[in-house]
Amino acid sequence: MSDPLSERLERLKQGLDDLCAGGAEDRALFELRSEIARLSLAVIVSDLEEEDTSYLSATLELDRAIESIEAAKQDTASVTIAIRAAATSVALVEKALEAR
Amino acid sequence: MSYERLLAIVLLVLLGCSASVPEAKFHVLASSGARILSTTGDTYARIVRLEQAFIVASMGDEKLTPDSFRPVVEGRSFDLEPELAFRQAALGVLVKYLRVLEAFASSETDADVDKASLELGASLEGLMETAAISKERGAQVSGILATGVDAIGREVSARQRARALDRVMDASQKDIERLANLVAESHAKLDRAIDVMVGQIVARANVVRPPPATVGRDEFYVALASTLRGAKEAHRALLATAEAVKQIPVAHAQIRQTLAQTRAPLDALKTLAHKAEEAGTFYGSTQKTIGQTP
Repeated sequence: MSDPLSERLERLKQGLDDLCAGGAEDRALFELRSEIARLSLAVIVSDLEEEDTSYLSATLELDRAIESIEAAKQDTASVTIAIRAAATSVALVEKALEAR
Repeated sequence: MSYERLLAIVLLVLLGCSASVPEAKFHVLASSGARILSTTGDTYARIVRLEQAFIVASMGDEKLTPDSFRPVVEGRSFDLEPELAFRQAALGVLVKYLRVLEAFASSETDADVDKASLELGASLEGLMETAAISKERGAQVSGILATGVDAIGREVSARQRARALDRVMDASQKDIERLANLVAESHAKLDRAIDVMVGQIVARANVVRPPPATVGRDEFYVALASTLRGAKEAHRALLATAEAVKQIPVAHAQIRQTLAQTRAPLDALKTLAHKAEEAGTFYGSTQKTIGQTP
């Protein structure tokens, strides 16, 4: 939680209690309550922003994992390439035999 | 023992001890992840609409300007939308990872191996004919050889896939756990945000509601009830998706274990599928109710 923001929020809440105790008019109380609600949301947004770096680091690692799976796909494809190469070699031998 | 019979036995042995990749489990994992992402997207959209209602409900009495409805207080943003978009994108990366795992675990590469083996079989048949081996026997031997190569190719490809899956899943496990925990923490904060916004919307409604026993008041109440119902659903969906996301790393770890074992329990995957389904049942006929705020 962002400290200056939280401190400001606490002061406003104290101010609201004082206004209530002093019998302030409803409109003034509503204005202050609205301000407190907006600040409370700003504190939550600030808390969420603090998580962003951790999110970023975790997703970057997953991005790397996705890349390594893509690379592994290439390795798997090498089996097919090897069999195709064998088929080509056999065909070449066949041609050589025919030419004799 | 004839050459053909020997080859056939070798093939049977190879197929008997083939490396198995649990494709269906990867499919359930990826589908559950996609479902959670979809429900999360709906929930975040509701929160954004609730925020718009909150901005109006928390307006002061000062003179209006073009910037009056900006989500800023004392120079600080209280806009949840960018944070929600960021979290949705992060969850999207997790689901993409699960989809890529699913695609990699599937045996689509086996089709390529089959095709290449058929090519090899045809080439061998031609070679045998050229080498003056009888056509019938040549076709028989080349067919068996091609099937053998196919089985070996599939086996090698399956083992490569299993090894790659082991490696990638081990390396990703911690990040998936971290991401799941982050989502749960974020959802707890968003839950608080919903409480703040709902409290303000109700407080404002008490100030501005139309006079009693009028059509205006009934309409106002209908719209307010709809907003509050939407907020309640978003609240429940946040909890449900957080619970469901927490099951992803558990199921991921369990599937990873099944790569090494032929029979392993599937409790975590079943729980994940169930929770993902639960999280997806919040939104039905009440879609887009938050927008109708008084």
